[in-house]
Amino acid sequence: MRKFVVSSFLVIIFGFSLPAEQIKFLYMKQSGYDLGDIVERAESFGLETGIRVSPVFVEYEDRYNLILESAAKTIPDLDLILVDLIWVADFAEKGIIDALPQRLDSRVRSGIVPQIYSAFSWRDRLWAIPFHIDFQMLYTNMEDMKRIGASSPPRTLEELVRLARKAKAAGVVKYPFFDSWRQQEVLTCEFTWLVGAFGGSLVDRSGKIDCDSPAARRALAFMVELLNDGLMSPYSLQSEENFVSEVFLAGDCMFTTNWGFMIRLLSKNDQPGVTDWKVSPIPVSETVSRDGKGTSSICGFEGLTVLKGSAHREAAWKFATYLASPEFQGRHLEFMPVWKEVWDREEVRKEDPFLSIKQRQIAGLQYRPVHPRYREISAILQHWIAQALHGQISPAEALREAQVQVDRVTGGLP
Amino acid sequence: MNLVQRMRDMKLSGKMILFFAALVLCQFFVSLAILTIIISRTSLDSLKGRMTYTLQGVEGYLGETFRDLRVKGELIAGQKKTIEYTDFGLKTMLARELVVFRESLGIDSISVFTDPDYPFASTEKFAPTDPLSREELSQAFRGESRLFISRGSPDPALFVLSPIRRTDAIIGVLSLGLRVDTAFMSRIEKISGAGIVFQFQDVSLHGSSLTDKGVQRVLAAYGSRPAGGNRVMFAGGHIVGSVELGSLGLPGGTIFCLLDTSESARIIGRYNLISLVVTVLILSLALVSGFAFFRRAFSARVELILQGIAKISGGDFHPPFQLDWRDELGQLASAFDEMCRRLLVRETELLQLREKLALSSKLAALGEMAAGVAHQIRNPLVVMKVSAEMLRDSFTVSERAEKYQKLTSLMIDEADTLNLVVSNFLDFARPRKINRAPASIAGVIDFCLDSLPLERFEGISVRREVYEGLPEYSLDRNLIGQALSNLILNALQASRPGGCVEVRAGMSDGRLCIEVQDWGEGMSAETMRSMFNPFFTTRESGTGLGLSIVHRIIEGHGGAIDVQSEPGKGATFRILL
Repeated sequence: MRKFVVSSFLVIIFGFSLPAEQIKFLYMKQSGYDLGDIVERAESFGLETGIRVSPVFVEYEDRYNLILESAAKTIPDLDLILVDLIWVADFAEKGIIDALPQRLDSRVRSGIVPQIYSAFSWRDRLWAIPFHIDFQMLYTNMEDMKRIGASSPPRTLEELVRLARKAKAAGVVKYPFFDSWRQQEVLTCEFTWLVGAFGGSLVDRSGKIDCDSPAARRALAFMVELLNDGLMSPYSLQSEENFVSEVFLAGDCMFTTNWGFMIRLLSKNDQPGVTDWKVSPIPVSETVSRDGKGTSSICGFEGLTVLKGSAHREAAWKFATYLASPEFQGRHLEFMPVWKEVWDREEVRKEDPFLSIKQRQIAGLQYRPVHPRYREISAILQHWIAQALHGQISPAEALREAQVQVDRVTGGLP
Repeated sequence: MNLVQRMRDMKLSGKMILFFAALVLCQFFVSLAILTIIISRTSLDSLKGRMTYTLQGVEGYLGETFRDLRVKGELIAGQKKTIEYTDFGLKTMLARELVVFRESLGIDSISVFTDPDYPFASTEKFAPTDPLSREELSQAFRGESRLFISRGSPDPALFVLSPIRRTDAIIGVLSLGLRVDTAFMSRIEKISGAGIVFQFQDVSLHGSSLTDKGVQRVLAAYGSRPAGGNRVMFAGGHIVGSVELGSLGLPGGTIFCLLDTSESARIIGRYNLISLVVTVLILSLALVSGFAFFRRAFSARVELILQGIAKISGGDFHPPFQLDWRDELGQLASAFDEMCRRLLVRETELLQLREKLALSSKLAALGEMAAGVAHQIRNPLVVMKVSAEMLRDSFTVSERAEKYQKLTSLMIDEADTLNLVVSNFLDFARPRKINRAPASIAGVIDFCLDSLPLERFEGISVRREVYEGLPEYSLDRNLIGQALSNLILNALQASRPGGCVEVRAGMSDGRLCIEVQDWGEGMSAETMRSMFNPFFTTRESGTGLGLSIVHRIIEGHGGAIDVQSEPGKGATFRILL
C-alpha cells in the first residue's frame, strides 16, 4: 500500500512536470504549400496528439547545408525535413536519413503511382513520403497562336518549332520561346525532359549515367538550334523560372515550359498581358511518338523524411503521415495531390480542371540521375550545356566532355 | 447775408475750427493723392520686379525640367531591364517597367522605339509619331539625345529622346514625354505665382487661372515682341513677361507670364479706404480735441477776460481775475489786475482830493464871507469899544460910579470877546503866507507850552516827549506853533481832571511826526468826519474854527493831519510834515 501511494505521487509529479514531446520540422519558404497552412496543420496535430511541432522555414538554397549541419550533431536539432528528391541518395548514403518504416512504405507504395514514389526510391527502399509533387508542362499563348492561324497547342516538338518559326516570321513575337535556361539546376531539368522527349534518358538500363547518348545529343542540339534560329530568347540563358512566368503572363512569348505554379498565376492574373492561354503536356519528338500522345517532363518532388539521429523519430513519422495525408492534400488542390484516391474523387476533378492533363504529364515524367553525388554530376552537366548554349563549344563536344567528367565522379558505375 | 459776410461775422472760435477743418481736409486729400500715386507706382514697380524674378523662376524651372527629363531619360535608357527587354523583344514586360518608371518619376509618357516609325513599347497612347518627331527619332537613332516639342494631340508635348545602347550598338530610343497641357501650365503657375501662357506654332495654352478672352486681350496688348531678350511691360491690366524656349535649347515655343494687377489695384483701393477711414477718424479726433483745447485754452479764457474787462469798464476796479495762469493770457489778466489795483488807489485818492477840494472851496467861501462880515463888524466894534473905554475913563458920576464902572468894563470885555471872534474869523479867512525858516520842533513845542495858560487846567498834566535827534525843519514856526497850541488847548479842554496830555515829536517813514494825545472823552466817527469843517464844534462857547485853521496851516505846509479816536478812550492827533 505504501509503495502504491509513493508510486502514484511520483507519477503525478513527473507526469505534470515532464515536457511534452516536441519535434522540429524544416520546411522551405518560397514554394509549396502556404506556410500558414503548414503552421495550422502543425497546431492541429499538436492538439490531437499532444506532440508539439515547431516548423522552421528557410530558403531552398539554405536547406541542404542546414540539414547537413543538423545531422552532424550527436542529436540533430531537426527531426523532420522536407527533402528534394535529388538529395535522397546523397542523404541516404551519408546515413542522414532513414528509410520509411516498412509498414509506412507499403502504405505509400499502395496509395501512390510508381512515377511518384520512384522518385524517392533508392536501392529498393523508399526514403521519403512524397508530399509536394511538381513537374513542368507546356504553356501556350493562344493569342499569338491565333495570329498565325493555329488553334491548339503543338502535339510534337517539331510542330512546336514550326509554329514558332511562323510566328517569328509573321512578326507576332520576336522570340517565340522563352524558358529558364540559366546555369542552375533548372538547366539540368530542362535538358533531362528534352532528352526524354527525344526518346532517351540520362540513366541507361544498367543504371549508369549516360549524358552523351544520341537522344541527349539531339536534345542539346535542339536547344542550340532554337537559340541560333532566334526562336528561343537569349534572355532565357539568364532567366529563372519566376521571371519566365512573368514574361509569359505579360504575353511576351508564345511558348514556355514551367512548373505547376504558373497555372495558379495564370488563373489569377489581372495584369495586362496574356488572357488566352492553354496548358498542355510537353510534347515529344515525332520520332518518339508519331501519334502525338507522348509526353515528357521533369519531376521536381519534395518529400517528408526523418533524420536518422532524431530523438523523436516515431513522432516525426507520425506528423509526416499526418501532414501528407490524403485528407490534407484533398483540401489544398492548388497543388497536385500525390494520392491516387484523391485523384479519383469527383469533387477534386471538378475543382481542378487540369487534373487529367497533369496525370498525363505525370505519365511522361523523366528523372534526373539518382546518385549520392548528384550535385556534382548536375553541376558538370549545367556547365557543359551552358557552354554549348553560349556557343562556346559544340553540343557534341560539350556532352562528350560532360560524360568524361561524370564518369570520373561516378567511376563509371551505376 | 452772404457766405463771406457770415464768415466775417463768425466768432473767432468758429473761424478757427473751420480753418482747421479745411486745413486738415486739404492735407488729407493731398496725402491721399500722394499715397495713391506712391502705392500705385511702388506696386507697379514691385510687380515688374516680381515679374523679373518670375521669369527667372520659370526659366529656371523649365531648364531644370528639361535637365531632369534628360537625366531621367538617360537613366531609364541605361537601365539593365530597359536594355534587355528592348533587346529581347519583351514589349509588355518593358511597358510594365516603363509604367513603373512613369509612376515613380512623374512623367506623362515613356515609350521605347526600336525603329523611328512606331513605338515598340509605350506607357501611353501619345508618343512622338508626327513627321517632326520621326526626324528627331532618326537623329536619336544616330546616337544624339534630343529635346523637342511635338504638336501632339490634343496638346503639345515635350519629348526627350535618349538612345538605348547595348555595348556599342543602339538598340532603340527611349522617349520621355511631358504633356504641355493645362496641368503643366498650372504647375508652372503654382511655382511662379503668375498666369502662364504657352504658345507653340498656332497652339496657345494657358493655366487654369486665366481665361481664353483674357489671354487674347493681354497678348494683343502686349504686341509683337522685339527679337532677343525678355521683355517686361504693362499690358491689358497685367504685367507681362515672356521666355523664349529657344534660349533653353527648345526652339519654337514661348512662355508668357502674366501678373494680374487688378489684385494690386484692389489692395491699393483697400489701403486707400482704410487710409480714408483712419484719416477721417484721426481728423475727427483732432478736430474735437483741437476744439476742446481751443475752447479750454483760449476761447473760454478770452471770454473770462472779456467779462473782467466789462466789469472794469462798469467801474468796478477790484482786480477781477487774480488767476495763476502763466501764459500770455495769464500775463494779460495779471496786467489787468495790476491796472485795477492802481485805478482803485487813484480813485481813493481822487475821492479824498475831491473831498478836500470841496472842503477847501467851502472854507474859502466861508473865509471870504467871514472876512466881509468881520470887516463890517469890526469897525463899529472898535468904535463901540473906544466909546466904552472913553466912557469908562471919563465918566465922572460918582454915584453909582462903581456900578457904571463895572458895566463899562463888561462892555469892553464883551467887545474884546467879539473882537477875538472877529479876529478868528479874519484869521481863518485871511490867506496865509507861510514863511519857512529852519526851526527846531522842540523849540516850537516848548514855546507853545510856555505861552499856553496851563495853570487854568488844574489837575491836568502835560507831558512832552521829543526825539532828541530831530533835525531842524524848514517851516513857519508861528503857524505851526499856532496849530500845535490849538491842538494842545483842545486836548486840555477835553481831558478830565487828573488827566494827562502828551505831546510827542519823532520820525515816521522819513517824515516829521508830531502827535498830541489825550485820554479824554474821545470822539464818535461822525464827529471825526466833521471836525475839520468850519464852525463845527461840540462846545457851547467855541467858534468851531480852531481845527479848520489847524488843517489849513498843515495843508499849507504840504503836510497831513489825521486823528484816531474812540468814544471814551481819548484822541490822538498826528501831524506829518
